[in-house]
Amino acid sequence: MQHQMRTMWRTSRPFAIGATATTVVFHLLAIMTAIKHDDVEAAGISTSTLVPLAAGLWSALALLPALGGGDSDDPLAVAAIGGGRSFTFGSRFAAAITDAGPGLFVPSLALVGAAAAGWPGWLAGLTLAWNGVAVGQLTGAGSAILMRRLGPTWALLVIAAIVLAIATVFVRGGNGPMAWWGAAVSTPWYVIALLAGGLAALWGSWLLNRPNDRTLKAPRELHLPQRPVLALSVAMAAGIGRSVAARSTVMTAALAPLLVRGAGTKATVAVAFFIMAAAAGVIGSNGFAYDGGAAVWLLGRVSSGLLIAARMVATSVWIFALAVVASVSGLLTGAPISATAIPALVIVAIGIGAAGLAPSIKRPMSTDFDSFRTQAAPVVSALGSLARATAIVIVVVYLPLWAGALAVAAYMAFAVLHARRLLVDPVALAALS
Amino acid sequence: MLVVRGLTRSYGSHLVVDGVSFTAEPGSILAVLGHNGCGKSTTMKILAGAIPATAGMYTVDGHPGTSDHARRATGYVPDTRGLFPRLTGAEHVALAARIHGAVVADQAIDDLADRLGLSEVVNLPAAAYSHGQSRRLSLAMALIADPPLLLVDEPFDGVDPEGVEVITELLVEARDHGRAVVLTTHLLDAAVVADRIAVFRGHTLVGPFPTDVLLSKHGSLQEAWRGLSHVAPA
Repeated sequence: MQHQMRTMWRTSRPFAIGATATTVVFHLLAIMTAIKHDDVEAAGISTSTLVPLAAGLWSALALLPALGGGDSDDPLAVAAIGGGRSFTFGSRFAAAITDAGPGLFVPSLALVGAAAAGWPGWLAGLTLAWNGVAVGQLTGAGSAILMRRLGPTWALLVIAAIVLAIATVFVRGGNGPMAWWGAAVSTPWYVIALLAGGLAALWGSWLLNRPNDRTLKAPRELHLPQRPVLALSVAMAAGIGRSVAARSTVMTAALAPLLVRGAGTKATVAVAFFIMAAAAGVIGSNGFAYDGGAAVWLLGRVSSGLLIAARMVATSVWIFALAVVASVSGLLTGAPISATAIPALVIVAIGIGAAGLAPSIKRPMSTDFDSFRTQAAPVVSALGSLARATAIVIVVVYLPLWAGALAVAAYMAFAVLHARRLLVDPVALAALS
Repeated sequence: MLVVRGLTRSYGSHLVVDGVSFTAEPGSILAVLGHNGCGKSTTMKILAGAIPATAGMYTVDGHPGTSDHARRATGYVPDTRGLFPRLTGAEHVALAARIHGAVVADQAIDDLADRLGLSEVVNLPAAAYSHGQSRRLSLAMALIADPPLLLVDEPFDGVDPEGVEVITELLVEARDHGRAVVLTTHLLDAAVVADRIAVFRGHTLVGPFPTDVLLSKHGSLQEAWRGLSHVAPA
């Protein structure tokens, strides 16, 4: 656990400082809200209005690890091969509590609880957060086992079906995290039940963390075209597509509309977090690497034009596929998706692909394709890529299609020229290992 | 084959490679030795086209080093684990062949993998490879298109004795088939395979000298290394 914390600190100091500071501020805000609860209550905020938010935060803590395949892609998990049960459990638990996502969800739940019900709500929020983190360990460990037994695609299908079924049963039955939190706010003894439930989940997770019997299976054979640009594009796309994180992102994109359809609008907040995770996956995969140390070999073997072209093809095709999956799932649930959506999605995919070109050269991360969640991307790159991607989506959605296409084409030309200039002396990329 | 003149590289005011000059002839192996941080890998990255030089020039087969002809004529083994984690060994070698514009049969890839002791892992993702296996895979990627010039950066780093023997055999074979091989290494014993040896003194290169001349003058490569690599006091 010490090593996890040291590694996190070393690889993402500004991000860690920012996340830590934000977490502390949120906790202080939660405490102040609990103190000033009478004023908050006078504003009309109550337990019932905040229950969907609390349930959504719990769902994110408890279910995202399952959708991520546990740590199947995590390079640190590979290092733990041969480690005993306690070592594996400890490293996963440490990763969970040092991950910035859960780090912010915990004080957020406390804040929601404090706003809803003062000090009892604050305590209920913290224990619900503890319960969510612990259940997340259980679902993550279970997911990792499924990955090994069934392979990533079938495992994710099973997990998605289970999540959908449980969410539907919980919401329509009036049970689940919404009911638990409500009960904990009004009946303090229920806090103990949440704590005990969390401990039971952790114990179950420890049991499931068997000594790592992970074996890497040979993937399906890849047939590379003869033309260098196509061969490299296919190789890069395979590098994305074979990762558990990428398949999980596709699964999340398909699951989100189905969750809203099956569990009702009360599941919307939970769905929002899943969408955030999927979007983070898109941004992460696009912006930050040439898939590990292969960049060093590539720089010396291919021209910058070929490298840029191959990367644009690989990332844009993958982003487009993700968008299509989400759209089809949305169509099945009755979302009003028009015929112009397809060309619009193509334009957005190309634009987001171009938005990640420069960060992938200036501030590359060697392992972000391995796990979108456990590697913190450079803060500046993450914010910049997110801002550019959001702007592209807004431009395409709100302008006529032809104007959006023109704008994205102009941006792409700029991005490609900028990337070529950066590739003249790609010091950071050449230093990847 | 390879002509290098006054190659220099600095990062701001920090000089990493200082006026390096040498040639590598077809049918020869040149070993470049040096302390950690002397600029060996930086020199190799420049010659491979991964990063530019601050000053100086180099040509491959008479063509400028950054030209397409030079890229296709050069096989490069980086000092780092330059692999795609989720591509298999066979896919790496096939990709390398495509990028070099070579048409290579699957059997040729299997044969090369077999020579390098990678048969058991050639269809597994590179993430599963040990350090030594990844070095051998990188060498396979450099050899598959049979380029006239081989740049091999620390080929023996992390490789077991059997692997050192196999790699040495392949490099000697490449030389015997008329290829120019330039390698960097810390292993003085492995450098004996070279026809000529150059040594980094500070950030500049001394030599190259014929290996047999060095051995006869200094008695051993260790003594030659001690004599050539240390900067004389001012």
